[in-house]
Amino acid sequence: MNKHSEQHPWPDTSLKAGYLLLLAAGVAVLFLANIAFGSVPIPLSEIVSILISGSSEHEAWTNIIEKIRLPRAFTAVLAGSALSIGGLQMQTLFRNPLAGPSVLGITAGASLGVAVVMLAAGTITSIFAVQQLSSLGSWLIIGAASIGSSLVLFLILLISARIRDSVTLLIIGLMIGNMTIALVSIWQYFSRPEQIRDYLIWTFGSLGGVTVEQLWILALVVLAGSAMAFILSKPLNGLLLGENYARSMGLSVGRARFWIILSTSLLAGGVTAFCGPIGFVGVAVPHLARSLLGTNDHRMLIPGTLLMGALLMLACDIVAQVPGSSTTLPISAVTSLVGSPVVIWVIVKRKNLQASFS
Amino acid sequence: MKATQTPVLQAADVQIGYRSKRGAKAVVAEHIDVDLHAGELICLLGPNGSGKSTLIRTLAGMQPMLDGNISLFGKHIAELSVKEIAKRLSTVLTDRVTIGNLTVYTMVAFGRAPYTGWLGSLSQEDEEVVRRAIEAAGLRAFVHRDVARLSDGERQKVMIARALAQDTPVILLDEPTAHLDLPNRVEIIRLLRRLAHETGKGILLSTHELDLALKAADRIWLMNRRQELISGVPEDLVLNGTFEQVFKQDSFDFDRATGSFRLHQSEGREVSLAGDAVAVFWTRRALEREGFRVLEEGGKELGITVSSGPEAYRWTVQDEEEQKECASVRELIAVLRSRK
Repeated sequence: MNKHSEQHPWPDTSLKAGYLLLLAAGVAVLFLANIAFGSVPIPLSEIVSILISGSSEHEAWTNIIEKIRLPRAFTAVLAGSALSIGGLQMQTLFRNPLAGPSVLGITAGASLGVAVVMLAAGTITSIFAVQQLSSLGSWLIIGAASIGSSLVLFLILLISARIRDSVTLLIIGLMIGNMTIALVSIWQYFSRPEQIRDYLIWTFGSLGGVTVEQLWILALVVLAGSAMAFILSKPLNGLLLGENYARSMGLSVGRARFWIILSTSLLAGGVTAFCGPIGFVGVAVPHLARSLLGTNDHRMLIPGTLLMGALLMLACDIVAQVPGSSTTLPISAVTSLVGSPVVIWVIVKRKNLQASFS
Repeated sequence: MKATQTPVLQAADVQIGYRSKRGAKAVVAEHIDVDLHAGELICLLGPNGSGKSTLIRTLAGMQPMLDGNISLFGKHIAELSVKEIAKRLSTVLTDRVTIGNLTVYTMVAFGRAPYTGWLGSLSQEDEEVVRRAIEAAGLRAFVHRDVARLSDGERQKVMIARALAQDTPVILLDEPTAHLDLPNRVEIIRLLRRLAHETGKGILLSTHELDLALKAADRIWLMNRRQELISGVPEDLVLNGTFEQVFKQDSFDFDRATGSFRLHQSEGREVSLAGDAVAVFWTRRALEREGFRVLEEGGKELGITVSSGPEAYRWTVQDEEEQKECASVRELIAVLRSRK
């Protein structure tokens, strides 16, 4: 017996913060790097001094950092975390490795809202121009996106109360998403080319369009959604075994599902409203986090996914800004271009994606 | 002794099945009056489609019953919350758990869910219960193993250990031995039997393993295709012909004499068989496969005697004309075939 326990010691079940601290440090480094790179070269010492004391040799530098680069970096952190946690929750709820925050059609709903505003109004070109300059135009687009995603969310919650089976719900979500995209596409068909162009630009996604005041709202939404997700760790763990087992272990599956969908909708809807549709991150990051942490325990996985999402989005944004040039690439394309090889590499190397959802 | 205890789980005139949207009932079984006592292992048997899984899900409170009353420790199951049920009754389902990136320990620890706080962190006491459950299921050597890298039998034991960690006086298992090989099936049943008798849990498992159920169960609940459930001690059900009735089908029958299914209809020629008991048992099988009706009394025109020699068995075939010696069942069959 003694020999037995030496050979197979009981595991330490306390939560290990090691990897999380490492990830947090990585986020901090990339955050600084994200601020440091841009079309206007600013020395690192000046950046630090601006961040600490808020003053610099050049007034313009302070402005660039405080008004443009800091909000942009914060937006990247928020968007990356939010989409990743949304994706993680969908993957667990639907027990499907390909699920992401967009499966419920929430992103499509936001797109429909924006399409309605942009393509219906005649002088739409000016509205998009307004978005860059004053807050009115961007609020209009954010409002439209929020209403669009909320409508889809409401529909999904209504359906989820009637349908007990999550796979059916997944398919219904996908269908609603398809219908929404079809509506947008019909709208595009009857629109003028310049209107379509504006809409297309929105669909590329952007981290740079969020102002400081909007950032507060986005932060609040993401914080609420993430807190909800963390509180849901225990039911999410139970759902790993399937809904019947979760119920047999005393978890109220229906209630948990409501909150999971609500949390994901807030996270995905909020980010899509402010930044446009940003693909890929939500599907990929949970896999990266599982791979790094080697666990499916959501108490570890949610903080890990949050940090990993922030990390990946900051990195992608640095690439998107093409350091040393004044060009900016669409963020949505960069997340896929940078992220996909990373995920392929991790899956091939660690071989444990299959282990998570065989 | 058992009769004086109140049952841990009791069903009174329960009707199980499904209700369609329009309120029409699809009854799977009805008038179910059964009880499960502490320290008892009950096997639920019945042909496919007789409603075993439906009954287990209904007893576990996962599916509403159509009519009747199910009580857990004297309390109506509909009045208990999911959490209250989970503290009294744990379930091992047929749902395949395919998740990975979880150690056996973590998986078993999920069973503590009804007792842990909102985050699911384990207290010292929880840890001890989990460890006891792992040891009881014989999984000590697997604690660090990823559940995705376990064999079917090992994974089933993990799910049972998880139910043990849930620390409930009642455990329901839906076909825990399906997809397992014979040693694993025997091991799981033996484990459940030990748990029932040593820890005083009331355990109900559904199974298709007639042999094992007859040997291991304290009582058997037998569901037939006529929406009935018959309960009793295994031997009584065999002797009063209930088994034969339930499993009566066109192609095979339950054999009261052996407690197993008869694959072949022995309507053919009669043969008498005598000799060493072990050899007779196996020779009988071969003969029945060949279409003979085997009788243990002698005096038939065709007779076979098995004797255990110093090294091997020997078969002597005797008919009116001649006597032949055979050294194996194969030879015996060859001789019998040549006579046709």
